Amino acid sequence: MSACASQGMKIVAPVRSVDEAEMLLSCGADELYCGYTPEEWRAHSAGLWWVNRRDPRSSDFTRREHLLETIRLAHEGTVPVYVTVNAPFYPAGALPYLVDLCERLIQEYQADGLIVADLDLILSLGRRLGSTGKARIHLSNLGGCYNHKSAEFFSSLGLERIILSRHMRRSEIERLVREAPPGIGFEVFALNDGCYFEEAYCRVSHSLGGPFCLGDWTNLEPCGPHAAAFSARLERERACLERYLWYQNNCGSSFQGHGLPNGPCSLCWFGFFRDWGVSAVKIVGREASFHRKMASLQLVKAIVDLARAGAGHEEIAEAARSFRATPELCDSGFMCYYGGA
Amino acid sequence: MRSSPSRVAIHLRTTDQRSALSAYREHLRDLYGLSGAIDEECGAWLARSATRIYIGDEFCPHRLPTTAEAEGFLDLAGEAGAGITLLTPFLTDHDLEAHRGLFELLSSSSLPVEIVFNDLGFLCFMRERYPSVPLSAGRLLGSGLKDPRAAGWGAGRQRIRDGGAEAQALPECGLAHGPWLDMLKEFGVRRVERDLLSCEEGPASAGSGGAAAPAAVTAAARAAAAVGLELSLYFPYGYFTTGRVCWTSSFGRPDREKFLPRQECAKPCDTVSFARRDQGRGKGPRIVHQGNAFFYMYSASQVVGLLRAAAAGPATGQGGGPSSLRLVYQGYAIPL
Repeated sequence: MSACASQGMKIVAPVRSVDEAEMLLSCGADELYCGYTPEEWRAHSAGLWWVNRRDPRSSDFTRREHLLETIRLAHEGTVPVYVTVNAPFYPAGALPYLVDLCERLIQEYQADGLIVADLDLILSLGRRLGSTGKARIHLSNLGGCYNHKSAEFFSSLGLERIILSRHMRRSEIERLVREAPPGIGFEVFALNDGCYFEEAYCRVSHSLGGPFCLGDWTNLEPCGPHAAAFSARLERERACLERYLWYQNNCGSSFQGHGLPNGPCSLCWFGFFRDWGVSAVKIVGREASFHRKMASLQLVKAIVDLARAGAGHEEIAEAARSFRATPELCDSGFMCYYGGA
Repeated sequence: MRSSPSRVAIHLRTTDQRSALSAYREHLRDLYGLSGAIDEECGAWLARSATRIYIGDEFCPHRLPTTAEAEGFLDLAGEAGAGITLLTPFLTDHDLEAHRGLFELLSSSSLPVEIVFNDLGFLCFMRERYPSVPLSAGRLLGSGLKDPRAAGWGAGRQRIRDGGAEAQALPECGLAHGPWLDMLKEFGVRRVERDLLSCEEGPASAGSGGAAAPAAVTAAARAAAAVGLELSLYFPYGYFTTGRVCWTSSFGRPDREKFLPRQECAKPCDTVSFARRDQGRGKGPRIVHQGNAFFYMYSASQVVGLLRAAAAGPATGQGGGPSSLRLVYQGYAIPL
């Protein structure tokens, strides 16, 4: 069991405005995470590449005073704020600027930690900030950790938490958490925004026309010795893939009848996560609307409260399905994070 | 300075592909419909037999060879006087355990065996258990922009070619610079593997009768040599994305089991891949899916440029240590 297990699972919620911060804090978020893209970043990226995985125009704080006010509000409630600096790659020469930015975020703006993926950045931050003891660094799921030896490695670099991939079987999570070194925590995806590919190894950029996986799948031609056999099934299987991708894309960004968001979730497994010692559950979607964020937090909080109260695995799963009230979506099996046992 | 001579390796899926060790030139020529360009400039270099066989897979643990299959490859390599390189993907704890026999077998071989890791946990695992096995850092660990849309179409491609702001700001391959390379050295890693990026196409050099050697080849060789690492470059495909969810293996499965990480797989990707029909015809590089991995196919000029660089030996620049360029041909690994 991880060192964080005794503290219970934290709810990690996305924020991109002061208004949202007030709402999320009042609704029970245990931690906030955000992006921050200052204007000068353009000079380091030709306006093409992002500081983190998301488009700054729709997902990040861009004004310093708004970020500072959010951090101040969160700290009033003893809620930590983490800043994502987790782009899968950075422009040539941007690393020194990013290290300076991260130092400023921690030392000057009083952010509590950073969510990072790039190993060069992690190593550079360790050199710059490691001795201060102030920077908590979490490994983004873009950093790629799938086994306990990786967890040991990242722990040796001083990281405090690892955010796991969306695509793991539950038994893999259980074993990883169990065999990881003490002192490192794990965070899993709770709700919203699936992704077809493995983000840690996906080298496309959403800045170049959106997610590649949500593009055109109609122009495929089977090749190779068994192409004919696959051609016969191609249309049905392609339709199935596109249906799966619709689920991953938050069921077309829809809501159910009571205003709760549809989309990928792992709510049914919260009892297992609690028992295994998972540290935190993450609500995805910094670019989501105020309403979607609020409804997402309410839904996750309801299930986390059950887990904290000691509810059993089946009780939690039944409650999750009941709150979602979309059995037809749940039964598809396409909406589950960590669907494999 | 010029480095030591370049070499070629071939990625094989089965020992039945043994003829590839000497016949890859024809395979490459057929794949691209190339004629004079390759033979005129690079024929002598391409006439060499491969000196190393790549086996395994960088994207899927189900495509790692069984120990029996690995023994067959070791026999083949022994007969051919070649070395063996095992490609490995990112691995779960279950995978590490399930393939321990394979790692044991290869690490105890008397042949020149090396292992390519694409998982930092696996790097640590190998260093602890098999410290004498040479290791190479795989191309999945390189973090450069590989989106085929980056150079695919429209004005952006031209601006990149012209060396405008976009070109200056192109994300570099993470295996090309930075403290990460120093860390690899501390781990005793000897080599790095990478692709040409989809946008790394050198301009045609006037009067040379073909494409210039990609500047990226020289830059990558210099960066690796500066820290004493060797360089492998893959061709004719560069990977750009992958995942644990595999559409190819989902064919015919019940819906609820389709899009989950597999515990077992019949490996249909051995006999089928998918090409995007509208790509490669003036709309950017050809895109190919094989199993859970997606690739862009290098342009003919990229391939010729790469072969030219290999034939000449990459310039590693002053101060760079000795470095030989190894080209890894994967034309046999993807059924087209």
